Amino acid sequence: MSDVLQRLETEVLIGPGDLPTNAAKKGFNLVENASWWLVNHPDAYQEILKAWIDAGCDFVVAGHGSANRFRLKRFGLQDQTRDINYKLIKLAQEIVPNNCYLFYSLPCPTTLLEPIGDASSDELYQSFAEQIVIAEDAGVDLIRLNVDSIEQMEQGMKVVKNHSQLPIAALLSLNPTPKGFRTMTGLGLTTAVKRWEELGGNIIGTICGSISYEETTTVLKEMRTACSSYLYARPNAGVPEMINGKAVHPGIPEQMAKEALNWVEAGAKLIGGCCETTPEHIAKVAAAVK
Amino acid sequence: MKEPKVILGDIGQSLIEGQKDKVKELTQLALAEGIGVTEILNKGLIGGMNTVGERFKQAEMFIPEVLMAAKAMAAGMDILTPLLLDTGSHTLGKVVMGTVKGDIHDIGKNLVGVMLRGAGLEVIDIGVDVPPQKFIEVAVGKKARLIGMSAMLTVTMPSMKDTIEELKKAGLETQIKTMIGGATVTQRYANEIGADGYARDASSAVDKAKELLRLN
Repeated sequence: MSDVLQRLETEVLIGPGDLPTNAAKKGFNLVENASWWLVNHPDAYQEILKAWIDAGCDFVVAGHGSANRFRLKRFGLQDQTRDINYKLIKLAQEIVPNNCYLFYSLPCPTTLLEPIGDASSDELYQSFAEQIVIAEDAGVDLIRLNVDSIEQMEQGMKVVKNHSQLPIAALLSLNPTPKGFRTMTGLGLTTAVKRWEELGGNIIGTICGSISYEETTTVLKEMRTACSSYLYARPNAGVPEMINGKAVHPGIPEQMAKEALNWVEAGAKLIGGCCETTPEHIAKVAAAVK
Repeated sequence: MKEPKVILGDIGQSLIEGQKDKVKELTQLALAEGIGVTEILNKGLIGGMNTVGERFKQAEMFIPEVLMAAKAMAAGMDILTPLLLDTGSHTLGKVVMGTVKGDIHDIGKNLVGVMLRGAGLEVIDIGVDVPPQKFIEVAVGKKARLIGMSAMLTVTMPSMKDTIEELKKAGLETQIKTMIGGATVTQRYANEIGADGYARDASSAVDKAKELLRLN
């Protein structure tokens, strides 16, 4: 059993940025399936992970949102779900050193459930279960779930409890609205955080979304007020703007490192990044926080 | 027997609540009571959808509820469309829309489509990963006067510019207007690439589309 939760009592753990935007720098085309690309470019995948480890990560993350049955089906790859996930974890294990944890990312396969979306709650459960079993079998330290709604949280937690003993983190993709920070489905931050704690979740946090580094501090403070779970900050490198035809992400490494101190003060125990976060960002954060 | 005004109000309210069977039932009732087809459309269905748009803008309703309302709208439209064709009424305008080349994110685009349809426009959705030439071909072929482009990824946004430039090369930029949107798209970018319009959310997209089609 992994001791990752014990470590969090006394330490802040540093984690990686995202896979797709870093894979894109190595030739991944964003219309392809990211997981399929990664298992077919094992060297590139391992180089990305190694760069995080060299930057000072205490944990890295195997698996990606594109590795589930629903997303793979778009490319006719649904029958390879098991194989792709297993390889994503095994390739990571080959290079992750003993002092670094390996998390497994389990994002929701479909954003919206029936009657609006195209998957039932039961199909969501099956899809989660399929992946959890693979992760448990391949061996990881923690399951990280991306969720937009209470139903997704509940199904995710049920699956993890039924099929594994692993600790579990839920990450919410939040956007500012006139009614506070909410997920795309309208789920409010406080409601989400409280429900997750009630379900027995260990870690809650924020991922991607349209929030800046500074807003991430506000989000963490609101989460801290609402629950006592460990908090995980994983923002994009700011909300990008197009300037002269090029996307400029305002979140530069120095700024992330500076703001990360506020995240820690607000209660963050795990820090990583999402879109356009580079190993340099993570190295600066690790230097500032550790 | 209910007053026409009450029936139309009930249609709007049921639509807002996303009750598609009730919308269907009330639309049939309205027809049976002799209320005009365009009146049912404008004061019942579109009226309800306008409220949905407003509430969405105010963060009082969210994407799941909006999509439920859209399904209810579609249930009502299934009944009205054949009758509208019979009376010779046509839609307010046609919009060709899609997610640009290299991008497969379609939630935002679909939502805009729902709201535009809800406002009475004809939407020709050509899907995701749409190259510039395809937008133009379809718009010309279907005689649409507006192209709507969506992108979520910053790396795919330049494709919007390519479409606008192709349109200019073909000398069509005065006949076919362009509007853009998406998570990372801004008014500043719209100005930079010469798009005729930008909308920050699905609800504002309706106002902007109407403005560009001169329907306001």
